[in-house]
Formats: sequence, structure tokens, C-alpha cells
Amino acid sequence: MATKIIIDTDPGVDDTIAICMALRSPEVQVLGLTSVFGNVKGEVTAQNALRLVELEGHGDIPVARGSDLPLFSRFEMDGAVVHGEDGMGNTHPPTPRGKVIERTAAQFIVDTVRANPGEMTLLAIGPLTNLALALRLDPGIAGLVKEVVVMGGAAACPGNMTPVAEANIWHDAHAADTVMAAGWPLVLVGLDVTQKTVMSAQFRQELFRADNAAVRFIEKIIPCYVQFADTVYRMDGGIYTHDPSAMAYIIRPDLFSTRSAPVFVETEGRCIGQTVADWQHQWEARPEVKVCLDVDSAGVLALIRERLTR
Amino acid sequence: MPKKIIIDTDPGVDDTIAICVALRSPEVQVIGLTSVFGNAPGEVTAQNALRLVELEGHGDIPVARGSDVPLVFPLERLGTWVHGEDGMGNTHPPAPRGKLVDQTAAEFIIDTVRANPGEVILVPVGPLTNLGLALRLDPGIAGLVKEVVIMGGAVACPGNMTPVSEANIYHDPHAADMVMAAGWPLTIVGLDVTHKTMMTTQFQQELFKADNPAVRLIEKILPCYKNYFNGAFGLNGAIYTHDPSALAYVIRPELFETQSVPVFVETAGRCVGQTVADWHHQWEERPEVKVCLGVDSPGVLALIKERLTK
Repeated sequence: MATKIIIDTDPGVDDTIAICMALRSPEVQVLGLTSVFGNVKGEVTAQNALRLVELEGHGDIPVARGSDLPLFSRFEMDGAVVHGEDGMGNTHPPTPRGKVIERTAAQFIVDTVRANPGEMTLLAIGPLTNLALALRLDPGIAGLVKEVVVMGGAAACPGNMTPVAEANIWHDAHAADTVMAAGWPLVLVGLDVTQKTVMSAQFRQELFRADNAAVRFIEKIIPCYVQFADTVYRMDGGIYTHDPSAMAYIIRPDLFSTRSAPVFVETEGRCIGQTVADWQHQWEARPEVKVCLDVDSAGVLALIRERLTR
Repeated sequence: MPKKIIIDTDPGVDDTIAICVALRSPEVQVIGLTSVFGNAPGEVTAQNALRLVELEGHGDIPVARGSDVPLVFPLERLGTWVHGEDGMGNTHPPAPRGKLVDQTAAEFIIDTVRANPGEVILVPVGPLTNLGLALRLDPGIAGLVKEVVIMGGAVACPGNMTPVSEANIYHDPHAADMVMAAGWPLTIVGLDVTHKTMMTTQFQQELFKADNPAVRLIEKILPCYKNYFNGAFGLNGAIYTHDPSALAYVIRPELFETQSVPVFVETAGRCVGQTVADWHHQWEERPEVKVCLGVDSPGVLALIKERLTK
């Protein structure tokens, strides 16, 4: 039985790779995409989500548009400098044929979880606003999902948005803290592992030898993202493997080492958006989540290549 | 020429070890102690500072009493559950003979630095309130001290007061942030190294074979402190080497590996008191400080033993 997943996403260049992987993996069945602001504005990510399901003939998969804003704080800065103004590396792809469904992302999540009790895996690879809203609409879903896999956070390494905060968590720290506290079976796939897995220029060259709609699309949108990594991290053509790592976790959790701890998200001060793992239980009690601390990077890269090239 | 140092201290069990090491080291000349609240209330730490200079005949060294409360926050929990109600492991030693000088700690620091331009090393091993006050009273001292060596902070490891903050910094985060921003030559000797250097029960037994007032006092006051470490960290009678590590740095800096980086202290939210190293210069500009990240632990322990037993 394939794992039923909803991908909550702000596409986004690395979101695109993760979604293409998901749609090409027999281990998972994508029941829907929910979009959220983040890498770019909400109206743009919703359209991109539609484009991505249509890219290789999955236009029947519902796309629900989610929040344009964080729960509580201001939407200060999107990731357009990383992902392009259109979230697609400034390639301005044509308008999608399909339409977003007549439900909000949060309601779609609630309804789908209720309709598939104990079966849904939520893969969240953007700010966690939609998940927090879903928990507020129906707290009961926390006991009904199979798993929540989040690309986000930095538990034992520096952040990428600030010295302590990773971008997805930073974009909506209050929502993220709600999601960490919810008591559902949650896994954090954060910078602790995503920055250990680098898609080098050589890796991409090999990838681009394949000829299919997914690979051609990724090849087209990726230069903007690579350029950012070069400028900011001086990565010599390499890029970190953020969202695809979370997708890889769903297919092959054995590639990751995890440790369980309560995780808190700072919602104030200059450390806002920091994911603090309370390893020694110094703060108030909170259900533990799994934090990925190490990864078989070669295994993750092989999986990504295999899925995108076959 | 011995290095002229002022030890700003909240004695305190490990303060006691550090001060005894300093007073027995020919490389340093202790030209004053300044006291501060922290491990015990301000009136208690001031009396303990007097006791410690008198312990081995240094009653001529001036002791100036400093702040009883943090700069901004109300006084919270003190360290008496670690160091005893009297800061001396609940041994209640007799009243000191001497008196405090007729100056506040902050004024004493300013006057001494001004009288010895370019020569004074400040060694704060408690909350940084007195240094914060001294900087506000006379910002010019930042350019006149030789060095500031702090026991405090946790840059790349968890905290001991909260998951992210070390006790000395946590007790007065606003003062600590001023001290980090002041632009003076500053070194942080924090949990990154003090937790790597353990005084085991065997080390303690060997130490206690010596017979002098310093060792006899340390032997007497240590059980309370060990109990705390056993209960909180399961250290089996061993203790971390906090304040003595800062003194070891003053005497033998080559025992430590440091890296330079701007350091910020969180003053809000649940991460209050966290010392954040901004490795990638993501926040506003701030002068770099040296952060101790590696230590020759056997070297530090050998130095402490040699100084206390000779």
C-alpha cells in the first residue's frame, strides 16, 4: 500500500524537485497539494503548485490554496532572491490549465485526514501556517495523522535566515511552535541534515542527461537557485538538498538518524524562529518529536537521481 | 611582570577554586576583587570575597561590593541550590575580619583601569552586571583594558540554565550583551570548554592530599556542589571546571583553541541569555570576540592541581 501524502508547499525550486520525486515514487500516493506563502507570495505558490501537478499529467490531484500570511507576525521577506520572483527561477512558465479547489488548504487537510484516519502523512516543506490553522480548526486531527514530516529548523547547527533560525520556521514561528507542540508523530528534517547533502554541479549534469518533463523543468529553473548558493555560501555550483531530503525521509527513513526531544520554537526577540531541542528537559513538558541529526547523503542523492531519471 | 587582574566574582564554590588558583600564581597579580549577586545574594558574595582574600594572608587586596540585582530584569533564582545558601556549600565560615572598600565595584573597576592604562585584565566569573555598569559610567575604559576574560556562555553546545543559556549570562543578559558589544579585547570561556574539563573524584582526592588553607577550604565546601552535579548531570562525584578554566586561560591561553566571531546575547523570549555567535555575519555589525571552542583539559587540570598543591 502506498503511503498517502499531502504536500504542503511554497514552490519554489527545491519544492519542485521534491514534488516531482513524490509524483514519480510508487511508495507514495499524493492526495493533494496545499500551497502557502514563503519562497514567494501566496498567489504565486498556488499557481506553481497547479503547474507542478500538471507537469507530468497529474492534473487530477487537487491543489488547495493556503495562507498568504503568517499567523501572527508580519510577512517581512520572501525568498524571491533565492527562487526568483515567480518562484520558478524567473522563467515565467505558462499559466496552468487547472484551478485551485474551493477549499482552503487548512480545511482540505482537515477533511482529508478525517476521511483517511490513521493513514495520512503530511509533508510540510514551507512555512507551517496551514498546519497550524488546521490544528486550530480541528485539534482532533493530531491523533488521526500517520506522520508529519517537516522540512525545517536547525536543531544543532546554525540557521540560514539568521544565525539561529531556518527560513521555513522563521517565516511563521508561531505556527511552527504550534506544530511542534501538537503531540502528533512528527519528524524534523532540518538543516542538520539537508546541508550535509549537496547536489553538486556534477550530480546535476548526470541528472540532466535524462530526458523527461520533470528533469527538463528542473534544469530550466535551477540556475537562479544555484547562483544564490554560489553568492551566499560559495558552494562552487553545489546546492543544499532541503525539500527533497524531507521527501526522501518518507520513502527511505532508514537513510536518516534521528533523536527524540521536545522542540520549542522561539517566537520573540532576535532569536525568533530558532528551533530549540530541549535535550535535557529543562523547559516545561512537551511531547517529543524526532529530529534528524545525521544522514546517508550518498543514499539520498542516489534516491533523488533514480526517481527523476527513470 | 605579572598580569594585573581584577576578578569580578560571585563566590561561589568554583569561584573559590579560581580565586585560590589566582592568588597562588606568580603570573598574575590580583589587584582587587569585585563582588556581584549570582551564585548567592550580593551581601553574601561580598563577604565571601573578603573571606577568600584573607584565607591565605592577602587581606590587603581590596574588595569592592557590586550589584545585588541585574541591570534590567528583576532578581530571579540565585545559584544557592548549587553553592549553598552561604555560597560556601552551607558550611557557614566565620565572619571576615576586613571591610569592603568605600567604592562600588563599577567605580573600582573604572579607577583601577584608568590608573593602569593598557595593563588591567578583567576576569568576570559571575553575572556581568558590574562590567555593564562600568561601561555605562565610563565607556572610555573599553579602550584602556588589556583584556576581558569571561567565564560564561554556551556558543556551540547546550546551556545549563536553560536549553540554550549558561547561568552567568542568563542572570543578566542585558549586561552581557553590552559587554559583548563593547569592542574591547574579550575572550569567552564558556560551557563549550568548561564542560570538557572534569574534576573527577580521583582528581579531588589527589588535590586533597595537599595540606594548606586553600585546599582545606575547598575540600570542606565542595560536597554541596558535587551533590548538585550528581543530581542534575549524573556526574558520579565529578564536577565541571567552570570558573577555574577562565583563570587557566589568563595564565596559560595556549591551552585553549579560540575562534573570533561577533557574539550577541538574547534579551527576550524563552531563549533569553543565549550567547549567539554570528559566524556568517547575518546580523548587524559588531566587533568580534574570541570564543573558546577547544581545550587541553589535562593541561588545565594539571595547572589547577599544581597551583593548589604547591
